[in-house]
Amino acid sequence: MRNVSSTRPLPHLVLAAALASGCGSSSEPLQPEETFNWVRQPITFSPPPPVWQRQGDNGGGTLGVRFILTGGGGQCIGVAAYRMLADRDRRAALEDLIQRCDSLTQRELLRELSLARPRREDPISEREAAVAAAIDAAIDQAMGHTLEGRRERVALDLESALRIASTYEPTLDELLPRIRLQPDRMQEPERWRIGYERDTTLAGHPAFASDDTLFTPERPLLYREVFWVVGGCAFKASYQGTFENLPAFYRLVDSIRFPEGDDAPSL
Amino acid sequence: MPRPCDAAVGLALAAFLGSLPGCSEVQPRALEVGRHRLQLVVPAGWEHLDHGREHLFRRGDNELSLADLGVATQEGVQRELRNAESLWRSGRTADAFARVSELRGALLEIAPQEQVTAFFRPWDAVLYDSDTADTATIAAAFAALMDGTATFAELSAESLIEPVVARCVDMARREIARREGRSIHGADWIEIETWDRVSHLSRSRLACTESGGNLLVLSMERGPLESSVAEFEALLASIEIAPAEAAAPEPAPE
Repeated sequence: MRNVSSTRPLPHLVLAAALASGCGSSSEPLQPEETFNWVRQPITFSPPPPVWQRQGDNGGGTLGVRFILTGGGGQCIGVAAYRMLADRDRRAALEDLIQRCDSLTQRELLRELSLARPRREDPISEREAAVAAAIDAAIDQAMGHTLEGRRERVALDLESALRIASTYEPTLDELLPRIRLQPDRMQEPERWRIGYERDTTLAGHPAFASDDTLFTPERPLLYREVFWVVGGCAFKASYQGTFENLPAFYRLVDSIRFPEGDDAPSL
Repeated sequence: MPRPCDAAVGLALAAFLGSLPGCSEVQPRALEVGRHRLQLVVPAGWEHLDHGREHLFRRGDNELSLADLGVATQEGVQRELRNAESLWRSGRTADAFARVSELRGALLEIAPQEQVTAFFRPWDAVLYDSDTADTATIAAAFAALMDGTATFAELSAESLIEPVVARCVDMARREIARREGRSIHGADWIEIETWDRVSHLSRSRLACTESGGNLLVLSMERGPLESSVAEFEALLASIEIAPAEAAAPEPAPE
């Protein structure tokens, strides 16, 4: 359970102000803003200075970037989207199939319909389970109509499936139990100590932040995480490092935006 | 007003600099890249390989490619068909048939598959019976192909990007970071920068233009952007495409 639900000023703002002067890489300006399209919902932020070396991060069901401090002994900042959770949202797959269904052969269409089905195992919530079952039923109908050669009905079935899929987006409360740090789920639970957890608002959206500790063989490190769920997509910003470099993380967090509609850069 | 002694010093300096290797004026090189005739300046220290439709420029791990990606307009398709028909009428039937079967490019790639199939249908009928097809049948098939070119929608400068990116960029892994139009020696180029979809690392560039009905693309094939971007930009800026009227003529029948 979360310890605090508050709207008081974030401790990191105080920290950032306290550490803003004379902290090496922490005081260097951030790089120009970039927009990442890892999942349906884009995320925009300014990467940390080049001394934090960038790497792509594609593992553990997430897709994102990690910025590793050069010579920092494992200190890093990460920003990632939960790709596998986002894949449970079938809207994009259904929209794509509606566009293409007229040009597919019967065999291709049956295969694509199978791929458009939602995941039913391990539902996020009862609401998600109900929506997934309803989408499945609509796709069952579409398959039946495909086999009968009634393409006009297939399109209607897919429209219906899309409408149903659009009625549900997971919330932060629903996803948090799956994505927040839980030491007993880690390989070496004794390395993690949960600290101060709180609900807050960051980047204009509800967020969950936690200030924990990671005990590495060399030294204990601060372990900070911030979670959002925006447009049904879960995101995480994380930091593991020393107190001195913490402002770099919070400056990045302060630069995070979740563009929507016309606000999203189109290329 | 320059003093006489200033002018003398200037002339001497110019003569001295001109005599140094690397300080002499770089001469543009005339090339044929597929259907395009052009002039460019090969970056100093870079190896140049002429592969006909594609020219490669290499230095170490860096490689730039300048390639003709085929027809991009109705005019381009009609020109290829006219050339093929001309070959056929001069008795080079196999060459003519090969020319039609090799007809490809952005205009055909971006069109719906059914439209492309319908376009080639008269020709497929000839191919099916190529040993016995008479002159009238083949001539009619060429005429049908020429008429069929009108069914393809002309591509705008912006829509040229789609087939170029599809051909040159692995869009499952990469995305377009930036694009902008540029005018270089009278040709309208579109320059695109791509990067890794996940990390925004591994930046790369390509530039494309349409000339004489065919697409010309300069792209970074290998090597990090940082170590070849200056040469890419210099090479691009040096490309001077000959007007369409002077494009490579069809070789005379043997």
